[in-house]
Amino acid sequence: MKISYRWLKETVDIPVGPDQLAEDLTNCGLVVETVDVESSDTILELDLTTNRPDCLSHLGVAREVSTLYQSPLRKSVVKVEEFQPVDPSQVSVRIDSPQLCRRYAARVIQGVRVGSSPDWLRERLNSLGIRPLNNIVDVTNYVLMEIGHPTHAFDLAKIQNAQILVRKAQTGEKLLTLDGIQRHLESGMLLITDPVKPLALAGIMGGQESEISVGTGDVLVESAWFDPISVRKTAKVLGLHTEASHRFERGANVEAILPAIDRVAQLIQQLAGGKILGSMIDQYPQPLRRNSILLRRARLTQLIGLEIDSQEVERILNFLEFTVLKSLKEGWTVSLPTSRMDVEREIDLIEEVARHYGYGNLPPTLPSWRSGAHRGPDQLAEKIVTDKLVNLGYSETLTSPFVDEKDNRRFSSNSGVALLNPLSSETGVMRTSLIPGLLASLSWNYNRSIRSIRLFEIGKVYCWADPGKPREELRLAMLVSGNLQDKSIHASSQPFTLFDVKGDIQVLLGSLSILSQAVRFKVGGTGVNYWHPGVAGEIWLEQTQLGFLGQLHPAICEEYKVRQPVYIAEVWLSVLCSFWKVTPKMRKIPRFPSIHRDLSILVDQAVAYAEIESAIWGTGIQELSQVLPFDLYQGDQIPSGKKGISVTLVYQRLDRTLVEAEATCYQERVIAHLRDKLGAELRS
Amino acid sequence: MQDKLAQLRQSFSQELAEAKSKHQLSVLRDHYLRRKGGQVTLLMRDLKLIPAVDRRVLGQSLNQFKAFIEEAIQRAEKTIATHSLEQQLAKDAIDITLPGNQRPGGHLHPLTRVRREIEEIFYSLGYSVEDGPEIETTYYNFEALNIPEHHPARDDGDTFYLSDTLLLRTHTSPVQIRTMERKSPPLRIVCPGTVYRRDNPDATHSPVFQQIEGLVVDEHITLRDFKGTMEYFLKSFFSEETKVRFRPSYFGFTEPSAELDISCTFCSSRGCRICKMSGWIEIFGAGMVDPEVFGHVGIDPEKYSGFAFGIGIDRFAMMKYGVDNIMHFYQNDLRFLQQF
Repeated sequence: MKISYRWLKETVDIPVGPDQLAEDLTNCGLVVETVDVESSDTILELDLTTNRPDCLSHLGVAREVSTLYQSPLRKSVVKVEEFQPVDPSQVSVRIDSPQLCRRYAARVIQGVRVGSSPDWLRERLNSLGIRPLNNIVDVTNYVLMEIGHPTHAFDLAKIQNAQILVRKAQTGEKLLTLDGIQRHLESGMLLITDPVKPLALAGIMGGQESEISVGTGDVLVESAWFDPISVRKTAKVLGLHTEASHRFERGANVEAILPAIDRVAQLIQQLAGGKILGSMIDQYPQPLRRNSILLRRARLTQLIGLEIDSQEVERILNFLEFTVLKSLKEGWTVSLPTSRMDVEREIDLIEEVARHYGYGNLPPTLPSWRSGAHRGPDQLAEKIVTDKLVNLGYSETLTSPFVDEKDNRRFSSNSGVALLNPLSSETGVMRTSLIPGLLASLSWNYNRSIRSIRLFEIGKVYCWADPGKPREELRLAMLVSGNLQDKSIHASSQPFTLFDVKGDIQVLLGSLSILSQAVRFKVGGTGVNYWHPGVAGEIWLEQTQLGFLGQLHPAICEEYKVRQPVYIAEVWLSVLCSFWKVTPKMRKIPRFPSIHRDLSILVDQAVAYAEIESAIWGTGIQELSQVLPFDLYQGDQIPSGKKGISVTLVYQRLDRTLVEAEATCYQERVIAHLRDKLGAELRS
Repeated sequence: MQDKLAQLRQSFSQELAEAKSKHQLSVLRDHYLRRKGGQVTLLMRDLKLIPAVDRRVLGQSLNQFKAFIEEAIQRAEKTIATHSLEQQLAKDAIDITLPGNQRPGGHLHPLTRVRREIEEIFYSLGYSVEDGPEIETTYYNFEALNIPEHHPARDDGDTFYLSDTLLLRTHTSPVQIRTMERKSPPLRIVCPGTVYRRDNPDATHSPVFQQIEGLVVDEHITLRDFKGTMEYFLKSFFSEETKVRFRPSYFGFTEPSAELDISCTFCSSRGCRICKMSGWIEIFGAGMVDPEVFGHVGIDPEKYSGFAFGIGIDRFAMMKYGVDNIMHFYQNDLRFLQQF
């Protein structure tokens, strides 16, 4: 909304210059976006909140200004000189949809001379960004800027039988609007019509057929109230936003209808001649009544936190035209003007008082409190996981949960939750896996020649638990690719392997005090085809699957144009949190030395290391504290179909020092057990 | 015998000077002091052949000479050891101007950093953190927050819908409603999380972004408390010098409502492109909880009052770190992430 400083000054005394005015208005809620100094005027551009249609005019802003500076408003009294009465058989108005058109007033001005407006009017409109057209239309626009109520002028001759009918459109009706576009109307849109055709889109835009032209002699001026929702819907469907619809959508003032129509009539007569016919038509079947409300002094003080002087409260309310009817001990009875439909409750009045008392004038306080707060267990777990991964060298990423349906199909068996109105088809569904996002981040970096990459994301995935019942699940995904250690002057490069990710997961679980014995990795069995078939597996915590890890299938890497192995792990954080020991319990630190013994065995190629380790633990030797594999050999030094594995076994007692003979005895038990269970032979 | 001793003294001095290694020193020691056949040992043995009058003096001289040899050799050994260590260390010298072995470090996402920083400030004020679903019903996202149907904020132009009644939350306010339904006052909470608006991406808009909203409900919470809390928070987050401006505004959820501005962090309020020469930057909307909202969750608005605020984490991170495009947060370029 553009406001002319000069025009405003004609309505109310302003003791400050435009810049100070802009600041003061902003501080009371009417944000002044820009202050443009022109040759003879200064234009303030206001960015108003939707609840303040009353300030979409100079009169409305002047009311705020008068409250700010306690200067009385100069309201001009409009006197209309009426000639012979309108013959009801000649001009009539009927409202078919009184819910959507609460009030409709019309005036006829006979014998006008349509021409261009005088310079003062043209200049004023121009400075507010409105293009002058002719003296009739310019007057309606001028009054719009002055009082804020939209009016419309019809060429009376174009209205069949001079009969106005306000009704809803029927399917198939058309109207050529003033902007020259043929509008196909939908049933239910509110129209101004005559007995045979639509004349205007109620509260939005007039029709070309009945528009004011050079040949117009008699004018019918409309000033009415249309339902905000109806106007909003129609304007939206037709993609038509006008000065009129902007105001009706936000709620017009039903009591501004008559002042506006009189002002229009008066100005038309003044600028275009003609006679104003009496008496005005005013269809207002159910006049709006607003009840007065009570503003309690105690409530005001309690909410603001400060006692505001009674005179000050009354002054603010009265200047804003919330007339204080009665000043009582407990508060004030206040009448509500129709210009401020946004104010209907006590709390709204409290805001009005606070607004003009000035938020800036309230001394700040902090509320007292009777309890403290801390992170909940899940928030703490998430924090520990995040911090540990960062310590392990992973960078945290955040990716959009919107993905392409084909990404979901590839990386999970759940179909995603689809958006009804996505921004594009590539972002049409919610992700069911974090992998596509991490791959996009990988690809972004890889394409920028960043080749050693360690990323993770903690985020939600989404699916339908049941039709209409969405489910969100927090996941963690990790991705590494390229080199663990880039080549440097000190060492050659060391590429990532699956075991780097696996090791990081083990360290991560350790940092949540999950015992390593609870963690198992199962070969294969992930049931999906995006893994390298020989380099993938599941992660289990006791009897619950925690997630999976593996090398991304090279064919998929190729699609992302990443030409190096990519290793990924995806972990279900809810499972992790359920295993997390919030408070770790101390385990005793051994006081006596341990004995380390190495063991080298030969087993069949097909025997997994986990089977060997589990067989070793299966001996049940209490003194066995660690199994540390250190060599894996497959080659011509040993029989084909076999592999050699070496492990260090650590024996330890908490209560005394072990003797060598005991360790030797344990070693023999282990060897015997391995031979028994796995057909292992001792390697010489 | 006197002569013999004098001769030995002289030859020892000469040989000691010539000995250059630990081994040579040990040979030297053996030559003089060996139990069998050492030069001094031999003289000691011959001592009994000497007349008793001279024996005592001579014996003393011999013992002194023996101690002298022992001491001299030890000293020489030490010198040689020190010297050889020095030589070894000199050989071990490296060029420490070569680059260090940097283990690649991981980095917290800047939005996580900012979120945690905000959370910490509110923890210190006694707030707890609450969480809730991102897929919400229209009731929790709009109606319960006093945003009725046909309200401009409900345009599907602004909101991603999944069905007639399900949508992606456009703010984390639904968490506040759910918390008020579940718990009774007093309440002090912040609700961080991902939110969605149907904006086409540009330098300052992302359809997916992060928010942290706060809510306080208790008896006797005032507009001044709201002001004080917001000032404390903003000064803690930005700096003690930050000035805060409260402008009346309009939101369905709050009444009275305020839009908060802070003194421009980029130009110290002198006026720049970013603050549009005003010296102020709009940072978020907030206000006293509307009694209507309390009505939806069964809290007595006559007894309780409160305030609520909604902070855009992305926006705060952009301001704090001088990030010029919101898209940086979601591209995950390591050259960007590694700066935080």
